[in-house]
Amino acid sequence: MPRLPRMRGPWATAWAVVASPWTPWALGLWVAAGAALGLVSEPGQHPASGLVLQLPAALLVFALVARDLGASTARLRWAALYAAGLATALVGGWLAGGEAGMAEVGGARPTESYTRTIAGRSAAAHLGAQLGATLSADGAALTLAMKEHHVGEAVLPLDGVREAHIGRWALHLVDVAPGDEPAYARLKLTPRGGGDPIERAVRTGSGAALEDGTQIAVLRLSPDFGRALGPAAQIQVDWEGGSATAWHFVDSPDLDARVGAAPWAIELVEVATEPRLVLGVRRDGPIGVALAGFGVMIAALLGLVFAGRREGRS
Amino acid sequence: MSGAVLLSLAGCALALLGGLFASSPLSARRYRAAAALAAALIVGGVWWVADPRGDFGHPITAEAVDANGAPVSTVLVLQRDGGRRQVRRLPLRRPVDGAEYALWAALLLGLLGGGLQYRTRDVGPRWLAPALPAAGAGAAAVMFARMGGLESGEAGVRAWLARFEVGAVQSFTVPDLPWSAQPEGTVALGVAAAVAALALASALWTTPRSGGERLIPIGAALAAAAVIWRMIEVGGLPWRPAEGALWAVAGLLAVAGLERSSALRASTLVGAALALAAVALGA
Repeated sequence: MPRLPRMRGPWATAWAVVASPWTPWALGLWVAAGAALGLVSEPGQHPASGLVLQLPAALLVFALVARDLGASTARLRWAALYAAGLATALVGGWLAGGEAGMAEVGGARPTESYTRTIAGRSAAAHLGAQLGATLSADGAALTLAMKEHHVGEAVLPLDGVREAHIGRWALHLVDVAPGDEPAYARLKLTPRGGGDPIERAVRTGSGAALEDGTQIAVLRLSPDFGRALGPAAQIQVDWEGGSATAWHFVDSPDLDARVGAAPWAIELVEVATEPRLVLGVRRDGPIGVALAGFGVMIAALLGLVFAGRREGRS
Repeated sequence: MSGAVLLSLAGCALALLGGLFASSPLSARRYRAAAALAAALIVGGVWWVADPRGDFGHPITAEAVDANGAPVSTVLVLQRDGGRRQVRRLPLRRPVDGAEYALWAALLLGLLGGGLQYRTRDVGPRWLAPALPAAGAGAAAVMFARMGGLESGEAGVRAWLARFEVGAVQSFTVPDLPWSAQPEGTVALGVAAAVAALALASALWTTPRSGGERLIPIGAALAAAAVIWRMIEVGGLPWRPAEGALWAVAGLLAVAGLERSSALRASTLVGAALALAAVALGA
């Protein structure tokens, strides 16, 4: 059993607090409360996270070792190893990145900054380049680029779990929020000469070419035309021998079919907004040290189990 | 559902089993109390997470999602007398009638059962105190699970509209796919019911054996392995609610595993870890 140096005054008081069996218990519950706060607050952005998570976790290391200094040598060895693993994991967590914040990116609206909480206040931090995102069935395609320099690109899965690494940043999907401006029109196109209808989604300012050479372009979109007539799209149709531009409305399916002259009858199915991606952004870093720390903790805990079995037998 | 969170929860369950079924009778009482309090904490956590406003006292609602997990909405065209025509897109979100009363009852029964178990002597039959949280959490879990019926088509939207005073609706759109509205936290409530049922089982079939405490460090090792799994799965270490919960669960179980002198302290930490893991899983 190791011998401790004799302590007096405030040193003895501090040691009594650190070595108290209640200290790890109280710190553990404090950490649990901090994690519960994290469960309901914006991820990683709680201004008190240093006080409720990092500091007690670091104190826990000392409290664990101090508690078992009076125990058997075998038990102390495993407790000390666990504490070393915990300390390594905490250092690894610090090395794995930081400067966490949130960025909002829409299809047509790239961003150059993200919002960080510094000392309890929101502040815009620069990404060093323009971050753009487009949503598809495979995920969110992210690009980070400047005019003269392409920093990187990645596809972020929509499961919200994994991270994408671009340049010196790591990004994960927090939310897909509905957009606030109309971005594209979903059209149902029926051949006037007979045949099955087809569907196309066409963005504002862009066009679609149909199989017979007809070009369809969406010039403007309105979520509620004249604040009275509902969603509408101004659509230009160019075909061999003619051209027509008109406003088309949702829920008026037979208007163009009756009066239109183009080879395709157009029905406006939906004026849709493009979702905005809310991304968690942080400075990227290696996770090897944190992984190693947890590996050491597992080894120490299993060692403790076998040490307990041997003590039980003897 | 994240496999890493499941593994962490399995570590908590193992630690709890060690305390419930393989310890001294007094120690087992402490773990039964911790299980009851964990069930109550889970119920409180579900309430907190399921309420979109994040506080108590408001009706709990369930957001409708289709088979792909995408939120479902309808576009309403409204025309009130003398007013302008309005077009509004509204998510199909259904209030879960009576859910707050069920959660209140489960929370109180969990706290009552836990408090009774912390006494050194039984009040009434031995099964009474652990039966209270089991009944409360079980009833709430069944109620939440029954809310997830499949709806579709025009009739489904009309049934949703019938809950509101929307006499001015001129027309509405119908989602392409069928949808269901499952309140959040059903899984966590199921875990709470299972934990309380285990505590009840340990009161009915007491099998005191020494050495069950060794299961706690094994559970802690599983929880630490869950953190490694999560970091590899994510490919990094963003600090999100799930990461915070997994790290805290691993730490709490380890401190409980290193604790030898007091079943009260160890069991409280196991209960807190269990509640965190369950809420992280079901949230």
